[in-house]
Amino acid sequence: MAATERESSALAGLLQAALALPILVVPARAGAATVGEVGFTLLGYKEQGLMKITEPIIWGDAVIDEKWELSASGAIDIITGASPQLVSNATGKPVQTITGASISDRRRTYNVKVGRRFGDFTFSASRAHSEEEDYISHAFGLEARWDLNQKLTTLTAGYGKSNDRVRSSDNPALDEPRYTDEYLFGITQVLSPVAIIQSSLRYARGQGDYNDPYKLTLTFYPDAPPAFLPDTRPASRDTWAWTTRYRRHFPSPDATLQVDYRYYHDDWGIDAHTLEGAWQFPVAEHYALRPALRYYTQSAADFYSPTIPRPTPAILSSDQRLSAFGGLSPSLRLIYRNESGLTVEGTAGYVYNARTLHFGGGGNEAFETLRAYYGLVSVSHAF
Amino acid sequence: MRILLLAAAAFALAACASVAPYQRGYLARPDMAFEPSAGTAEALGKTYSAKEAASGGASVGGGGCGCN
Amino acid sequence: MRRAVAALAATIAALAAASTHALEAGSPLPAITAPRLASPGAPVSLASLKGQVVYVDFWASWCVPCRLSMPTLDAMYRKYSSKGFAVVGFNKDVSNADAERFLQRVPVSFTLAEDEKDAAAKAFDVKAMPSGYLVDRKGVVRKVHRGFTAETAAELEHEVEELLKEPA
Repeated sequence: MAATERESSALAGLLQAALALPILVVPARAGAATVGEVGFTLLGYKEQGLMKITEPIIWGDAVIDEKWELSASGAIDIITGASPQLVSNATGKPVQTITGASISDRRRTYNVKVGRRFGDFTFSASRAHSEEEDYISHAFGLEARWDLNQKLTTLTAGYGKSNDRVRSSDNPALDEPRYTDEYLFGITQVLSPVAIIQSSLRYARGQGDYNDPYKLTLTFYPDAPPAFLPDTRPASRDTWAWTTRYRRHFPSPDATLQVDYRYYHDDWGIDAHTLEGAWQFPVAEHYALRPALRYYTQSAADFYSPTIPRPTPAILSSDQRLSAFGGLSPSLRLIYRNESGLTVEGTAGYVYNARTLHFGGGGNEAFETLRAYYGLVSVSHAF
Repeated sequence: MRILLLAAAAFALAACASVAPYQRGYLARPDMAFEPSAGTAEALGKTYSAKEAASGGASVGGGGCGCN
Repeated sequence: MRRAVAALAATIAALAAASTHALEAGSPLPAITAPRLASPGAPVSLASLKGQVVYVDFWASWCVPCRLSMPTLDAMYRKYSSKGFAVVGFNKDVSNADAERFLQRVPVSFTLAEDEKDAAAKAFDVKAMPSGYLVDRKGVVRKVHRGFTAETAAELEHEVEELLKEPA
């Protein structure tokens, strides 16, 4: 814990110094080539019968003299409602049950990133912090970007490290660490005057406490006493995520096609695919509409089970976020942009996760369909 | 297999050469960016990842959350 | 295997050929005519500017350093136009509306032209945005500025003053 504190205060000091420099060196002058944006976003999310989240976010970014890049954001997550805690087969089939009082939690997060350009290279450092009653995360990242080929090709390499602490509002004695190292490599390539593609690979290895301190499994047997096991997961997790994004503009309808795909794989046995397609087109002067559809499918973790088998295993979780299911989420965004740099974006979306949507069928029986909807409004000013 | 790789490399080189520095107008459009506005991207990212096992996108150093 | 190598060699040769036409100091000013940007009137003819010191600039609304280069060029144009200094700004936006939006925030008084078919950009072999070509009174390109910083502004002012002293 002491090493982490020293490390994070040293990094904070470095970032503070870096942040102070451009402000001293760059005098304010008319027509200065400083571009940036500041904005405010408000998210509202509601699950049918379960959780409700309200999140205001404040954010900003600036590029000073084409040399310094700064970005920062801060958010507060206000979470109320219920979260399933127990999976029990008392009724014959395993079902999620909500026990205990409903949750009321606040999570504060902020992140800062500073970068400096040296010719074709840009080096950045970032810091992220997240704090709630039962979880604290400190993370930092380093990134290097190389613009090649008259900026038609960009290579990115990054390293990140997170030091987290897992606690529980039910159990004050719980205070366990979780450490994660992440590595990223990406390529961005301009394909034509109207098309661009980006592909990145992210590998993360983590160790520490991954158990969900609030979840339990209770299984009744016809011929034996019932078994009871709190959520127990492996002490490490190796993950791979490969993301590819494609953007293609069509000058005649003045519209853009956006396609994103991500393949995820980890050593817990989970394989997941995410595919999102969107079509953004103008509807009136200053307005654009963006309908989108997102499909998600994941396989179950090796140790996922809604009932406890016999003999009782050492590792087991009945958290349905580790089960096999699929999800479909349509969304619609309306964007307003005017000449003086004001942008107002409103997005409405619906999330539907179900066993039946698992790709190729075969979703876990115990998966309880999730229905949620969200709305967010973002107002920003570009300067 | 090697022929395919060389052809792909040649194709990639040819494709790179066809966009001049002054032909970037369309690529500079906001809808050609890979992420929506910073606030929208942050809000949406967490909305989905809190309910799914998969995580990770095109950046590092973002930290975690106890999304229960 | 041999076919693939031949294809690769041909591609590299084609790329090399495309970049040998470089417009650097010492080259003559290309005789381009182009319509004015979003305004009626006679087209802009670079050849007709012979006898003046001309700065041919390529800009666009999405070019960040143009936020600095455009007002700088406007100030220089106002200062030196009576001594025979002209500026022609070729716009590389895909739509005039984008150019107009930029000009609302950064107005300029020098001549602006369109270059829809990229004829001017290709003739000047534009390799970066913005690109500026400083031409003397005899119609010879004397300096090429790629990109634009505060240093470029200072250098350019000095170069223009020197060229204005030269006879036509």
